[in-house]
Amino acid sequence: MSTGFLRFLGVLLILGSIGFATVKGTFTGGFRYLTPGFGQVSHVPAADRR
Amino acid sequence: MSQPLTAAERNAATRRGLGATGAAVILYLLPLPLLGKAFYELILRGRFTGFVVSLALFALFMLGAELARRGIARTWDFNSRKVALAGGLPLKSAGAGVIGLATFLTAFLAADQSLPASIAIAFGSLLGFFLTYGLDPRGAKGVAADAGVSPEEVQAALTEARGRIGAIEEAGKRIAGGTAYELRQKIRDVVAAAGKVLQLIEDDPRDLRRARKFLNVYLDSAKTVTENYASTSAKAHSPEMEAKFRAVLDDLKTTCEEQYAKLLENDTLDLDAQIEVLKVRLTKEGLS
Repeated sequence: MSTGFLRFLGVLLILGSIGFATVKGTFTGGFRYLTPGFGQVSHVPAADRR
Repeated sequence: MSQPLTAAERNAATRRGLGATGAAVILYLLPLPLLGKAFYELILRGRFTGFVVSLALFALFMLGAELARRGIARTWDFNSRKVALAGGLPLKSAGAGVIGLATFLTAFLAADQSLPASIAIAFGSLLGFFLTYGLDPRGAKGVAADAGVSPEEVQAALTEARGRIGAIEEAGKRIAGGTAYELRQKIRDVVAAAGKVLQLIEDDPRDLRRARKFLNVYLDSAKTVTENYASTSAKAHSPEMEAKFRAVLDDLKTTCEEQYAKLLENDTLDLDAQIEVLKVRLTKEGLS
C-alpha cells in the first residue's frame, strides 16, 4: 500500500473517530453520569409522554 | 528541534510552522462542536457542570492538537537537515495520547457510547493519527560511523556556528550611518559565504575537523568585529573606522570563500595560517 493511501486512510479514521465522538457528543445532549436518567429507556409509552 | 539562529533558519522555521498548522488543522477543527455543547449546557440548560466538562474536553483536544503541531514541525525540521539529533519529549506521540484520551472521554461521557465502543473509537483516532502523521523521529542521522566525529559533536559545532552567524546578522541591523545599507549588504555576503561553509560541513561531517579553526576562531572574530563596529557606529561616525571595517568585511568574505574552496579540496594548512594573520590584523587595527 502506498504512503499516500495510508495517509488518506488515516485522515478518514481521524474524521470518523474524533468527528463521531465530538459531533454525536454534542447532539446527544447532557452527559453520562452527570445528567439524572441520562441514557435510560423510558417505560412510559411515547404517546403518553408529555 | 534546534533553535533557528540565522535569518534564513528563522524564515524556514516560520514556513515549517505554518505548514505544520495546516497539517494539524483537522485536529483543531474537529473538537469545535464541543464549544457549542458547552454554551448549550450553560445557556439553554443552565447546567454549569456540563459546561465545565465540555470546555475541559475541548481544552484536552486543543492540548493534543498543539502537541501534535509542534511534533510535526519538529519532524519536518529533522527531515530537512542532513545532520540532526532527535531528542526531548516525543511530541507527536504525546499529542496522539492526549487526543486518544480526549476521544475516549468524549465518546464515553458525552456521546453515550459503551465502554468497549469508546475504547474502539479512541484506538481508531490513535491509528488514524499515526497513519496520517507518522511516528516521532528518534536517534541521530547524517554522520557515518567512520566520520571520526560524533553526531553530538557536529550538532554542537554547527549550532554554535549558526549562533555566531545569527549574532553577526543582528549586529549588522544595528549599524547606523549613511553607508549602513551598503555595509549591511557586505555583511549579508559574509553571512552567505559562511553559510555555504556550514552547508558543506553538514553535507560531509568529516570536514568538521578541518574547519574547526574557521568555526571557532574566525567566526568568533567576525562576530566580535561586527558587534564592536555596530556599537561604535551608533555612538559616533568615523570615516576612518568605517573604511577599516569595510576592508575587513571584504577580507572576511574572501576568507569564507577560500575556506569553502579549501574544504572542497581537503586542504586546510594554508588557510589556518591565513586566519591567524587575519586575527592579528584585526587586533592591530583595533577592531577586535
